[in-house]
Amino acid sequence: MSLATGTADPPRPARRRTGALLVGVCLGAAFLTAMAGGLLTSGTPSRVGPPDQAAAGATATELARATRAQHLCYGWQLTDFQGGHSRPLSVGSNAGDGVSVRTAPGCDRWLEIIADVSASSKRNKVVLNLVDSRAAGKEVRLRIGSLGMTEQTFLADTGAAVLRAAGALPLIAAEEGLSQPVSAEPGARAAARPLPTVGSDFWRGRRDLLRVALPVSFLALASYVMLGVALRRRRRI
Amino acid sequence: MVRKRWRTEDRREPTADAPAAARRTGGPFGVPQAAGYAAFLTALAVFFVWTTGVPGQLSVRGHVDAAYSRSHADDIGRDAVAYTSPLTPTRVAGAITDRWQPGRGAADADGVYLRYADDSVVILRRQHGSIILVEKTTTAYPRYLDHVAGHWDR
Repeated sequence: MSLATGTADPPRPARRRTGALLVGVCLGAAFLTAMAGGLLTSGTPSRVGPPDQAAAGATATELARATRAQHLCYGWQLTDFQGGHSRPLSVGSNAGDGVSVRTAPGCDRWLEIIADVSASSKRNKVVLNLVDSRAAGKEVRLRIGSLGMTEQTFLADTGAAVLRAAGALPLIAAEEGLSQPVSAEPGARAAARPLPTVGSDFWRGRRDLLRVALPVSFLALASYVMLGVALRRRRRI
Repeated sequence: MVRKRWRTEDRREPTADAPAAARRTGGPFGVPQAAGYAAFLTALAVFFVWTTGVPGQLSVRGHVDAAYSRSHADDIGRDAVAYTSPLTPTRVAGAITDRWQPGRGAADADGVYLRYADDSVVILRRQHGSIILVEKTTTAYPRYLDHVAGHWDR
């Protein structure tokens, strides 16, 4: 009822109301998608670079010990691919930091881990490959998770991560039956440090799915609201 | 120019009674359409929620308990609960991290060491397969300090 004229207001067109509802739903879904994307992508920033020299030297020493015990050489390569160009960031082996296992003296049989990092403005990626000298340079894809890492933790410090991956080579060699197992040599007793928090286990690793699942769940909820509206309209007739 | 209409049931030219017809079908979004959208989107939402693993185990501890054989003899006191697998440590680690990504991790010649928010999962090499030890990070960190120092605590 119009207060000014005292006459009945014309009924609001259903199309306009539904249009407003649709716009609301779409805006809500877009907002939720943006929010989910923003919240869920915020993580550890990437640090694509070579490893610390001292750490690389320590890994080479550890690999040299395994080589003596297992009679198999080990090496690593870290390469950065950017804009169609590749840039070697680090190479090393049981023969030392900077020495490729392929050219290391006395290394006829070897295993090498190759980490290819593709850095882009949108998303950085890493691919891990394993090369066995017996397989004529054929690369076999390795799952990052099988070495206890995730893509995110790898990219957080690629230098440290490639050394960590190289440290697992003696284990892989034993698993593949290439040599006898060897035990890890405990280094100098490290001092325990306070452990940093690592966030929620549940949300970690489910970011991509949740980025889709949240807006879809919202749309599903909104569709029930629309169903309720439609049922109410029908009941009024 | 032909304007598209949302409603599909009534393609006749609009008449004076069109608003009433719209109301009969529940408006531009009729009941059948709204129910269809609701059912489709619910199925999609359920699929995504199911894929994220919500209905399954709610922790890595639960996942390991459901997926691997319990080995009471290998327990470490009351600290670590042991399981076994015929698969190699890297394969077990790959399978676990597929479902539950670790916050930190390390690997060496002995095995793979996964650190989660409260728990740790340590997968050690056995002659045939692996032994999987699940324990609180507070007791696992000092136990495996030589293996995880510089990895778990960064």
